[in-house]
Amino acid sequence: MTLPRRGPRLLQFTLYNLLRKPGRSLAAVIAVVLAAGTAFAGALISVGVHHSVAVGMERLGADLMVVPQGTMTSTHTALVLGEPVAFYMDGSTVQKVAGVPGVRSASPQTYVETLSTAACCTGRMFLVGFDAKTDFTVQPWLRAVLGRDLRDDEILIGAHILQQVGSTMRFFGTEFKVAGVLDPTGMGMDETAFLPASSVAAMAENSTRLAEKPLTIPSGSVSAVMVRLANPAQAEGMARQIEAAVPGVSAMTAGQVTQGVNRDLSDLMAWLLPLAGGILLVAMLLFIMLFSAVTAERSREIGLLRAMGATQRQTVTALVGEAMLLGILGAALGVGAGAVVYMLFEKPLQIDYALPFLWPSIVQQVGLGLAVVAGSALIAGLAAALPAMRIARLEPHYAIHVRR
Amino acid sequence: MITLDHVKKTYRSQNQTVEAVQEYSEEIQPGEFVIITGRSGAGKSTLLSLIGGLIRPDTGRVLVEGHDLWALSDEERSRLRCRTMGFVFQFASLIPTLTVLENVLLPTAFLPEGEGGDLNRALELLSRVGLAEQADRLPWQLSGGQQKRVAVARALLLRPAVLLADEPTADLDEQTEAEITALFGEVNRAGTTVVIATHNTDLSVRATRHLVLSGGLVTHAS
Repeated sequence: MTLPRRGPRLLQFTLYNLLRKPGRSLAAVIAVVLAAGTAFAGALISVGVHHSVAVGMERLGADLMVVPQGTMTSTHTALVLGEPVAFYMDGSTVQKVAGVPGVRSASPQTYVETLSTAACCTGRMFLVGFDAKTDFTVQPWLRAVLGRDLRDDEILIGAHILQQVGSTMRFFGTEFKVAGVLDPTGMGMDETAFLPASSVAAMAENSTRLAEKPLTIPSGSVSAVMVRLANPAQAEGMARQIEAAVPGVSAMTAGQVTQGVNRDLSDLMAWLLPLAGGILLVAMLLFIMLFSAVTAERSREIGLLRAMGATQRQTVTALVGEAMLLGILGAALGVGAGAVVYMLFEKPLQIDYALPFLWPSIVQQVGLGLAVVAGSALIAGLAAALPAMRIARLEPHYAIHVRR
Repeated sequence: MITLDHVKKTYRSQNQTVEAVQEYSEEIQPGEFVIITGRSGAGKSTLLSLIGGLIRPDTGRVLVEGHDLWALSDEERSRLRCRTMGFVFQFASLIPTLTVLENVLLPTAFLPEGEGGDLNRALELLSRVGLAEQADRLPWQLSGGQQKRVAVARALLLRPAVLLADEPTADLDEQTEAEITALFGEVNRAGTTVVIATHNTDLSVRATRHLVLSGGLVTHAS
């Protein structure tokens, strides 16, 4: 026989009630698991998308991106998802953009879409050729991590490309050695390979001999111009100025990329939020009904506790505490379930809704989980508070003898 | 001392008014053994609840050890009830999710930590009612009579000055009834005031006072 050292305290009393009535507890826990799981998954998506955009835009390092007119949508898709694009404009655009007052620096990039099925290429991929002299997107990373410039036969790859440092990749018949793997951003950069523009030009030249289908890049052309502004706060105005000064281009601000992602996120949230709200509402109603039924069923028991000396406050505390414990348990399971369900549907969701995603830091994830647990405990407590207060206010005689 | 000062209790429903206890005054001295008898619906349980502060009288006052129960806050009244009164009810009044021992120790949950009865006292009481071996069982594993004995042990845990029992021997076999009656006598001899509402007039041999209720009115007192 195991004996307690002393009588059960209120918390123990509520714990015993939960553990020794598993069926009743399970019904409440399932309701909370559904609500908390959906809430956590929704919050995770929202935080992860914004985190990804923040990291991605910081990596991009540009305040503006200038592309040929009519290519903004595909550029957005390339930036967000790494979907290969290839478009070109005259190389003189770089000087013209650099000459617009307020532009601090401008650096060209050349985009290449590699072939998916040809023997000359490792696979369909988005290659970005950067100007080693002016680049401010890849070079800072190179200097910090590699400590040197890329050689002509070297390539940098995004975190989602399944290659290791030292391995080789072949594009249009030219072999490149992977010199480094970039940190993940959750955006298209993770699916992108970077190499010097001079290597892109050499690759195009050699492709006529080495590839089944040659790579054709108009001479002296570039795909995009990355722009840094003297005053980044004026990005929107500068974009309009550049478009006015350089005919045939569109200027996209970092804010526009973020807005685009937010629009796509809204499409997802348009059904996820009502779903989460609906589940939350049903869970709350279920909780209120369950606790109303439970308190009514236990009115005699509660009357007994009151007769033994439990105050109204202690009675409410015990009942609300019981509900909050269920809320905490259900939410903890829900957070785990929400994370697992999200992991299972991560890729399809990102592709269907064109959303970048980067798992938030462990601290953020734990914080998010704790917030959901705390919120669930609070809602469960509130749902139980009304019936608990009603029954606790009843005179014990009525609770014991009259109210069944 | 318990004082009922012109207390009255009426139950009202949509189409019925029942005077459960008509205006009544009474004093019960410490150490008395009082039984309240009467037919079903006579108002015995209501009178007991009035004495125990489980129900508010429509008029009048109830004083326990000099405290006007309904002039106290809920917190104060609950503490007073916890420290000075023990209750035994007619029905199986154990908490189904607590073991026998936890049920006996339950009143300590409502007192500040370190106050009230301890484990030894609970085991001693369980032993006294012959259930020490059942301490870690759950209520559903006990018979009705055993559950009633556990409820008596629980009511006595904090050495209450007043023991209030509502039909404590109903539905019990003769032997259990005799044991519980003997226990009440023993508790009373030790100085506890005992007030019992019962159909069982056999208990009157132990009583120092016998109140007979009919239609909410005390018709006879001896």
